[in-house]
Amino acid sequence: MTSVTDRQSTVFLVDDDERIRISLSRALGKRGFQVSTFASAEDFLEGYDPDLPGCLVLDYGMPGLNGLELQEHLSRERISIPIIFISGHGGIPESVQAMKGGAVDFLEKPFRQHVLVDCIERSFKKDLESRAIRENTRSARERYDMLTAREKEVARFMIANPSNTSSKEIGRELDISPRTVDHHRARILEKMGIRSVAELIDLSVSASLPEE
Amino acid sequence: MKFSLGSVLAISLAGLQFLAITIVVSTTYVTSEKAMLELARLRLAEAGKNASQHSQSFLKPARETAELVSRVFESSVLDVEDAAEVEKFLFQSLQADQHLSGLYFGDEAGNFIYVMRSSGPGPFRTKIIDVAEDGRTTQLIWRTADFSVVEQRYDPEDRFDARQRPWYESATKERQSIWTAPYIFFSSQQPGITAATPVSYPDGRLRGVIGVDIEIAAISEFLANLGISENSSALILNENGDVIAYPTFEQTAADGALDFDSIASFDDPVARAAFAELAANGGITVTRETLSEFEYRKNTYVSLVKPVLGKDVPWTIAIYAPQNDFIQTIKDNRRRNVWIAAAVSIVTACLGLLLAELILRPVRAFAVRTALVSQGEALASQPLPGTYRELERANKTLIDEIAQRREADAKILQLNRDLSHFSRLDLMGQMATGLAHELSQPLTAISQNVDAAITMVKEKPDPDQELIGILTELDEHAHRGGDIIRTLRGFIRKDKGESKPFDLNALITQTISLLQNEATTNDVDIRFARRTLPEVIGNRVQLAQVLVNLVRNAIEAMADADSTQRTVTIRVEPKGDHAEVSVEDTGPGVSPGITLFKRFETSKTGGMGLGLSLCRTIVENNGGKLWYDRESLEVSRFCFTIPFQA
Repeated sequence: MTSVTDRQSTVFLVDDDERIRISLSRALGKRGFQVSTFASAEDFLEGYDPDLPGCLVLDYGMPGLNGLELQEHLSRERISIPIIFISGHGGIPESVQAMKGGAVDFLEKPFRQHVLVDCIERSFKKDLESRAIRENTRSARERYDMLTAREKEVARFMIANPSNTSSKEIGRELDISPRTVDHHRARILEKMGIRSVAELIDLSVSASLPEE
Repeated sequence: MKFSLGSVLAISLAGLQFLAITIVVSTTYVTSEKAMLELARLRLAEAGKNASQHSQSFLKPARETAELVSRVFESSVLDVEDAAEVEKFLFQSLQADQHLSGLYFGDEAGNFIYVMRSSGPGPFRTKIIDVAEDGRTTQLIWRTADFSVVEQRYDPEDRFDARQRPWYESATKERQSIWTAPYIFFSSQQPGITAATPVSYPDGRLRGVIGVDIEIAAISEFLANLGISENSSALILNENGDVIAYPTFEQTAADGALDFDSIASFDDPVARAAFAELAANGGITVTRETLSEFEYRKNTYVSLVKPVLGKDVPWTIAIYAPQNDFIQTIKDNRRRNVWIAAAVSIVTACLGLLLAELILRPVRAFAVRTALVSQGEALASQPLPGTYRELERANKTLIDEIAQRREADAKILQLNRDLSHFSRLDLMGQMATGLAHELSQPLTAISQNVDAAITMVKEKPDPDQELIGILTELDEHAHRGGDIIRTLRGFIRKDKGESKPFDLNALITQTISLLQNEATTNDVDIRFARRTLPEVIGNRVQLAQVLVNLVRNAIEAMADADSTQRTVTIRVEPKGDHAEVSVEDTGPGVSPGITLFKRFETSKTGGMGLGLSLCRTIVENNGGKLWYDRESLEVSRFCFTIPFQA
């Protein structure tokens, strides 16, 4: 069977019905997915490692925490994992609420396997992308943190005033010589691993570098 | 016991009337009776005085005549030796007073001249006894009023000797005027009394005695005419207790008895009862006027005894009169007044009834109308017949009350109707939803397993296309099943009802009313702790269904158990933007091994196990939550929330 997906990603399946857990995990497994099953939302919260990439296939109606409540809980805990709801109820109000909470999709049981697989593929992609962005941000922050105080000052000024990036103006504003400014700028670009001030400004937006 | 207003009014009016009249009558009776008894005593005293005076004045001429004749005989005016002159003088004296029945003069020698009234052959008769040495002659002469002789003869048989008569003996012994005791005159058969006065010679020797007879039957006549009262009687008793005068004396005397009746054997029993005691000791000694009362045969009498003349004539006047003679009129009057009072009372009672009827007519009309209104046969809004202000007010209150009651009843009825409609629909929906959920699980498992199988077959180097076909078809069947379920669910879900703001307290009150019968039958007390709340928003009928289910569960939980305290308590409380309703019971709690809120799972015989899951679905559809409060240990408590209107 063809595999278009990153095999590192895991499908986390939460459903209280054992038959569903067995059949669904087997079918997805045969299709080459790595599946991890949980019998309840509580089990999931206990056993889930947020560092593992993947998506959550979540049954809506369960005793204890139900699907929506788990979604709310994860959102509160700032754990961003794409969620695909599967439900035997198929209620419109529930699905609307799930989608509002950022669910990838809301599937009524029984669903077409290709629809689920499609959802899972999209979720993986989304998860990897958001993980990449988070990683990018994280490394940009790390690099930014390596700058000296003066270098951070210069960098912040350049980010805050993208139209005034000449060494002369920066030096006048920060009361230092244009040569020193040039020196700092070279060090900033080197440390941050970028080639131009324009890239620095891009990075500041995507990684939301601190402005102070 | 309750009386009708009419009879109370009538009886009160008549009773008051009767009381008033009776009081007036009895007070006047008492005072007037006193006055009349006083009058009776006065009358008696008066009569006694009259009788005494009359008796005295009656006897007086006899004594006066005797003394006058005596003085004449003692003077030299008349020759006493001349019998003819003496006779004539006595005759004249007799004629001077018609009460005198006879005058006579007897001397020491035995001569006797007696002039008396006679019944025949002439109106007067003279008896002359002449005693000489050779013997005595007795001559009888009858005369007319003008002294002419009618008949004259001698009576040789006569042996009368005046000197042996009591009057003669007394007078000579006393040597002054005396009265004899009363006796029955021999000649006239009439009671009488004799006044005797001695006649002396100028030298003081006794010459003879003058006697004057006076009949006292006239005293009886006088007594009869005293007229004290209708049934009164007056008697005169002598010192021996003999009745010498009384109103009906003549009849008795006609019997021929020459003795007076003693009071002890007197034939008037009342007089006997009153006065016999006076003579109990053989003689009567009444020295002063005495007024007293006595009873005879249950009648009360007043009596008076009084001495007449003192020592000379030791008579006693005795008078009695029944009290009734004086107060009978008053008694009659009183009796009449009582009858009048009774009659007036009856009339007043009738008037009272009439009046009560008039007064009551509006009240009765009101009562009838009220009954009709309460049975729904008349409209409370119909105008009230003419009536009193108080009733009008009562009517207004009543109408308002009825209107409110009607409105409340109508609401409860409507809720009940809605509920039964809803519960039928929703039960179907719930069953469909439950079935859909339960069926979707195996269908999903089938579909998944088919997918796994297809994947496995396709991985084989030479995939069996026919098997793939079969498996694909199998998957299609599973999905067709799913489609059918979805269609069914969609169909049922169309009837969702609409959310509207409503008063939660009112809904709970109405729900309790609906279940009151069930609670009473199971001896369960439903309490509701009402709190003032803003309006909540949701589907009223669906939430009523939730309340009905929870309260009914609570009642049934206690009905099956032997709980001593059987109370269902419903509370409402505002919790942020939701109202929280809790229903708790004092029953045995949730059976272990029951998963609450799970469809088709129940501890009730005959239950489908849909109730609680249905309730939870309803509450969640209405934006709230429903749960079982596991923290309350002593009671079983189910809670749910409903959002307030934003």
